[in-house]
Amino acid sequence: MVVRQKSDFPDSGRILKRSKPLMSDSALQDKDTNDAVEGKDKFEDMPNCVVLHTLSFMETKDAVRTCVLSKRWRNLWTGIPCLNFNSKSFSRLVDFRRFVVCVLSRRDSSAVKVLNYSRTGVDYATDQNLFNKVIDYVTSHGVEEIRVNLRAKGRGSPPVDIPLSLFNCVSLKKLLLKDCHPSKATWILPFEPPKHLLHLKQFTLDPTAPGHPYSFAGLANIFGFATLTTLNLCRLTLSFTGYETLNPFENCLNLKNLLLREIRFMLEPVPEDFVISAPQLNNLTLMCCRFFKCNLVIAAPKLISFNYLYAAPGAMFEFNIPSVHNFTINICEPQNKLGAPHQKPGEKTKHGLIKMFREGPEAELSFSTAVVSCGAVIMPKKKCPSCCRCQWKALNLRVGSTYKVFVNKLDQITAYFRHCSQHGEYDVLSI
Amino acid sequence: MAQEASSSTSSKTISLKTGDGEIFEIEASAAKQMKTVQRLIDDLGDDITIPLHNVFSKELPKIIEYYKKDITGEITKDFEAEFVKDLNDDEVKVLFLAANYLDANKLFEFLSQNIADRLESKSVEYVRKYFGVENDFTPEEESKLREERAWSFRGIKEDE
Repeated sequence: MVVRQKSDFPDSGRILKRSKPLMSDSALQDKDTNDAVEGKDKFEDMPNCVVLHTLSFMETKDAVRTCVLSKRWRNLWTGIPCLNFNSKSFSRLVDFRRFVVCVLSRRDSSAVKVLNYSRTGVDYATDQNLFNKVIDYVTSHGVEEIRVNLRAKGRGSPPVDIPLSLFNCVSLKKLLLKDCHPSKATWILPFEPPKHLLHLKQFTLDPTAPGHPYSFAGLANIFGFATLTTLNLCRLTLSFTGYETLNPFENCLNLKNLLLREIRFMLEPVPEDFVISAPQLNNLTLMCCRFFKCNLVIAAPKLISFNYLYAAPGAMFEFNIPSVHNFTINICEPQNKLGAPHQKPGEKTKHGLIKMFREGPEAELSFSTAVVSCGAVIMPKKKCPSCCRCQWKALNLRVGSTYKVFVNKLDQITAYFRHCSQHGEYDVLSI
Repeated sequence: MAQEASSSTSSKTISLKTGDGEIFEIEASAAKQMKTVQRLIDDLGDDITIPLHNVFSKELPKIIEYYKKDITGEITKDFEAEFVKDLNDDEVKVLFLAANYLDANKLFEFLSQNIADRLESKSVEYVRKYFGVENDFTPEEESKLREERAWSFRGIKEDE
């Protein structure tokens, strides 16, 4: 199984056959059908950097074997700027281990831009020693992207110590930890306060099963969330200190894209409001999060799109955003592949109401170009106290070039807005 | 998608002439994605038929198809899977070489991955034939090398 990655080769110096023809014009005449023959010649003509580039998409185990193709290829593999290790391709873990160690020791000194390290095993232990070796190696070779996949059969995500070398790696920009989570030992690293040599742009944490309540602040501190532009957190149980609102992302000053999947809170206490207010946030996706008993307040001033794929019915949203243009709200039911684990067959889907804002007496909310899709919307059973604060002047859904509204129960929505609005007259302009 | 500097080129088409003499039209915005073509346009002007000596009528339509989708932002995983589905290994190779010649980065990256996928777990012989590599090892040299590099052959699950 080959993992797809994007590797950057700014100076690949790819061969460019410019206006000069490769063959003389007479040769062009009998250039009938033999594409295969042409291909054969030209491939061997490829400069090393192009060959290495193609080889970097392969698993290292395949790339290394090119050493026997010909004399030219004997040591070509040592310069491949990607390492793709996958223990599944080996019959025994001991062979995998030996292979990895051999590659590391025989590689040349050139940079490794991308590391894909995938180790699955019957045991829960992560082969920490091997992992350390690999991380130490790549971080000293200018690695920019690391993807780690450690899956123990049947036991979920093992805890893994993240070696210090990773936190001292200036070149690392993207880190993905799948089916594993940073162990306790990671939290007590020997630098105090954390000197952030690490400037990640993208961070993804995707363990197989939830269950380890992180201090989100701890994670943010250790991995340096302030530099991130993209953050993906899955199956995290956020603990909560007991203040009224929880606003974990307000210090993520560069965050543009946020994905939270299957996030939940430790049961008691549950905050009244869960606020998302990262100042540069453009795209927010919430998938299958359980926010029961908690208001979700979206207060990111630069938000462009909001996707909510729910699992828990009855989520309440509030959008606390000043006049927004080109804003897309997409609330929808999960596709089958995402699963709807808590939905009994036949249960009607109930989405929470969208409250557009909670404060601002003379506020006018307008969407120049809006796509809003809601499932069946119900009225709240109890009277929500904040309804009285909504003083709608106008809600304009103007017709724009990319304007679509799919609203299932329009009359229920308008009734709700009318109910909330202090103004008697109320127009919903839609198509 | 590339921003056009002057509005007059936004709906313009460029004529490309393949090595075997056939002419194809592409949008100027698609041509921008093929750096070699763009360079030729810059040198020769966009009114002239651009000659592409190393690309032929068999593969250029496929390349044009890819970039047609690209400029509308419609390239999805499904489209890419469909794009290579019926191509045999040699056809992919020819497209790859053409993409390299045209300096068409996106297509080049995509085909690199596809070639890597196709060669996964294949035997050394297969890869040798695919890349058109002539084996300049003597049998003794090769077996000695294989022994030295036994660690890279041992314990690996192979396709065929």
